[in-house]
Amino acid sequence: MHRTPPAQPSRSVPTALPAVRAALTYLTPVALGFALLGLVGFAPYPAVHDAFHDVRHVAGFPCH
Amino acid sequence: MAATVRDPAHRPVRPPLGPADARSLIAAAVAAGVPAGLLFALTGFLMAMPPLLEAEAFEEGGALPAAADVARLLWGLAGSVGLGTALALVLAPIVRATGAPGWRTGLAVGALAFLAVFLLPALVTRPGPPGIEHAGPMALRQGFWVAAVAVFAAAWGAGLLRYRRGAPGSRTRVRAVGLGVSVWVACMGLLAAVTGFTPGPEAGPVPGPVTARFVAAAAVTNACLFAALGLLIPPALRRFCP
Repeated sequence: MHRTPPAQPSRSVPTALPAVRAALTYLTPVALGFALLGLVGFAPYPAVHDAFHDVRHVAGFPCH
Repeated sequence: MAATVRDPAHRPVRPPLGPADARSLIAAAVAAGVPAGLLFALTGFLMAMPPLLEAEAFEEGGALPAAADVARLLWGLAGSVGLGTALALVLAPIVRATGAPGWRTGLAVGALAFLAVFLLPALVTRPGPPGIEHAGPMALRQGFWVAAVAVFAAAWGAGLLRYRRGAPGSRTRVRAVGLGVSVWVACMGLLAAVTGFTPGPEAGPVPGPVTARFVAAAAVTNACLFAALGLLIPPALRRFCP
């Protein structure tokens, strides 16, 4: 009498999840970087604009 | 066991990279971005601040250039470190994703980022010191700056997929670069046609030579920033994200 072989783990789950995890791993710092870039270079609030005014000009961001 | 093995062509081959995690990537980006931002601040203070203050004096009706006070210099320092860190947070994952975080890859990514973030947007939104009156409303120019960078990233991605299929110096690679350039020019031309935006000419009380000196100093300052990022990100990745 044959014994049923042990069930193979489903292949789709272990390959799909690392792809999502890898995307999150790489995109988290990128998203943080864009947020910080937006604050330093593009935030419209007058206080932020005045504080980073010189940096905006030197970096070539549209400022006025 | 030795960390470096050699392939049949006798080139050193690094062992494959381990899995990355977001926290290590962020640590590497901060470790590279803070010193790069400090270099941006130093170069900016030495090269770009004199023509910037001169332009401000013209903006205020020909007064003598004022000296920058301590608070202004400190905010400039904070903004520079913020800018360096922000760019490193975007570029470190790109350098890591190439799978070869060496100084050549770092410099190549830094050079492309300089093109994407400073040089190409400068053709469209024209950097200038305070006192310059640019053509077009600010929101539109900001939109164009973002579009210039985003379209470059898309064109770079589209070109890179083909570029990787070609051997060094092959026609495939030349065509891939051509594809990237054509996509950027076509998209920016289309955007300009749709919005009716044309860069320049600028007006205002600042003399042309002062503006030219400021723009040249800004270009050198940004080139230093991206070169520093390109050289600092790979060792930071090897240290924090091996």
